[in-house]
Amino acid sequence: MQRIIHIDMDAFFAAVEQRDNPALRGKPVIVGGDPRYRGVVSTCSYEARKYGVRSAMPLRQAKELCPNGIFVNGHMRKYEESSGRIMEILRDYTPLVEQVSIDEAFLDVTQCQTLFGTAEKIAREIVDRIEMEERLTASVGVAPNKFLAKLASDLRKPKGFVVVNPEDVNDLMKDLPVKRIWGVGPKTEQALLNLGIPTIGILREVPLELLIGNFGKESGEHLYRLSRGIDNRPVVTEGDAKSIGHETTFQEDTDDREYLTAVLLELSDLVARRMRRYQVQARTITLKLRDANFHTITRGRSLINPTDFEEVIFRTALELAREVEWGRKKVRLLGVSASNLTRGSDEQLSLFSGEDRDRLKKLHQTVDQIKDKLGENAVTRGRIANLKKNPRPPGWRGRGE
Amino acid sequence: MKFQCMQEDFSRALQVVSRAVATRSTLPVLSGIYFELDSARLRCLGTDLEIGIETSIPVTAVEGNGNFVLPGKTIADLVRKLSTEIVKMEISETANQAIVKAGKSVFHLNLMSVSDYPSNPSRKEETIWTLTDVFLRDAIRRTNFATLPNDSRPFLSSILLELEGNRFRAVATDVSRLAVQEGLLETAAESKISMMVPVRAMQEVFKLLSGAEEERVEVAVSERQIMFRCREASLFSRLITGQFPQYEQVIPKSSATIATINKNDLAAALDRVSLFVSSVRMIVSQGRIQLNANGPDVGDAYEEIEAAIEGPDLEIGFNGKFLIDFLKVTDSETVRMSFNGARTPVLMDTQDDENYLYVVMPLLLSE
Repeated sequence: MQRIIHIDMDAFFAAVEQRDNPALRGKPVIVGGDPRYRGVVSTCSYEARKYGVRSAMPLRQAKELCPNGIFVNGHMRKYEESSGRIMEILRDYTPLVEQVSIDEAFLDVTQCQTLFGTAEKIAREIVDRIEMEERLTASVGVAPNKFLAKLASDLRKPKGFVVVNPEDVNDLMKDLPVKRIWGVGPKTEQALLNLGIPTIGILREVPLELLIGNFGKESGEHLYRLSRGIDNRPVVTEGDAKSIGHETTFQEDTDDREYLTAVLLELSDLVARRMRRYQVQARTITLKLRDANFHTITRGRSLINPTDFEEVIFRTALELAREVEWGRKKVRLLGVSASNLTRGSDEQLSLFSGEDRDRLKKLHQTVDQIKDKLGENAVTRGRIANLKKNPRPPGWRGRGE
Repeated sequence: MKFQCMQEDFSRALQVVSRAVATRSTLPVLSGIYFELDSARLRCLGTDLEIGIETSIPVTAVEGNGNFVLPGKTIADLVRKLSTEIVKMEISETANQAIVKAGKSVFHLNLMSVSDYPSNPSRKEETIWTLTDVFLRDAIRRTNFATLPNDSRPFLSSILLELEGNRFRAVATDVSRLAVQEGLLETAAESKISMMVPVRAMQEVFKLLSGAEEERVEVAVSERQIMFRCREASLFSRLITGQFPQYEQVIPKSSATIATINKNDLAAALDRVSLFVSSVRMIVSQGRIQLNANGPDVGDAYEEIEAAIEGPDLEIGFNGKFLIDFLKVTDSETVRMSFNGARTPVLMDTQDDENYLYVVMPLLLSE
């Protein structure tokens, strides 16, 4: 039987802030920035949730609900570093780790149970280690598939630990609202409610034809399967991911090209570093820009040679950015991704840049080694260091894909 | 304004200038064809501002003269589909329409704003020289494939034209390979000139060439623009500013191993192994060349051909397509490959045509 673990950090950003600043512990901490500015809550502590504060809520509203809340700016780099160490802990057990976001991951431990004991034992060990080594808590779901594992980790937050065995599935889901099904957003939820289907238990009794009739073949079958706890999606690791990308949303939209260029360089660095870690190279680089009106442009370009060099990723992304005349409108979101990934591919030599590639390769190996030993901040480009000296607009938020 | 002309002439002219008409432009009038009527001829022009093509046809029964713009695609398609020998046209500025009459068919076509049409490019030409149609065809045919037309780096999407004395050179590179065609000018250039022309413009010039032995093409250059006057039509293009790489430095001056190979044998073998995967391993040893392509998901292919080899054995990788591109455009029966190692430029040429050479960089195969 397949055993999947879902790890979800509890109030991750807020928990990191509380960990690093004892004065914040036990207090309603709201990460997202100054409530006088436009912006949304990125995370809040459980103390703040008691007041009704939620992620993605406008900061101003959070302030109204929780006037004594302590509003802090996010420290993305700190969260990313912490997240990186947590992911390393997970990879001690299996290479089959799918990082869903900065604070969430799936593990497929089906095969490694013979090595480390049952899935439940592995999950227990992982949360203990995260608590001991990172001083942070996580909620865990252990189940036969990804959908159930995620459902389970969400049941008793924080510090939840829920194991789902196949025979428990129906009882567990019976009374849960339909919106707990992966893929059911507000629209589908409303449609289901209109049909008189408020819970997963009732949904299970609806014949497949009726679901297909109402939601189309794909969605209908999806609802039918998930309401029975059936989910065949595999755990996808970075190595066989289709793309590796990073993006960032500015809380204050900006048209400052110099600043955008520096951020683009940093994003390219992050993408390249991850590609090298997973030993993949990309044939296609894609740039994503979203303007203040939520109009999104994505532009891709293929390369002669697959690359894992930030220099090439950055240069390509910058070319694309110039072609779409970025900064003509204020930019809200900037992202870079690498796709069409290959491993150990042939290398077409260039007529005009003979030794560049070997030199860069050695440079990257050295920098990677230093970062592995001393942390991601040990070596930084001048341009990125400047970016940190003059920090981004408040509430900078980054996300890996 | 009134005139009449032969349907065949008119249709042909419209097809030719249509190739330069803008398909997507911020300036809507550029989707039109510009006409200028004088007492004996009708001049037709299409341009997207990067390139332009113009030609003229004889007209008769002319009344009045002037200029007008018609929707390019519509007028070209309409005239092409007319079945009469003679087409009569009348331009009514008051009705803002062109009336096209062919036999009993009558069409009223709305005019586009002639005042919006960009003024004709300046005719300030500084240098003029002449070369043969045949030679220009070869120069374009043998270089244009070694470019990256959509790349934003200017030198990759253009062909470099160099003139010195009575020598003419066309050079193209996509960084992985370099193609150089040389030839003689009919009239010598006064000074050394070197300029970058968009590969797209050169490809359009190619289509205007007849391939006839006795035909001549006049080329005129001003500071920003180049004009090719062919018999059928003239094409002008803006010149690209930017630096072309120091290409002469990458052409090997000597070589350790030289292979002389029957062109058709090599082309056929490469064609077959490339079916599996474009990465081709080549082993050059005494008397033969072995080719091998290995696609993890497809299988593998092996070919062996005879060749005269001078110098030490060698194992090297290539993108098979790059070699095939060269073999397709050479006219000689045998080709030469000159190697200096598995990581350095490889020269490809022929013994009987020293005016054409091709340099290709190897592919480093992964395993």
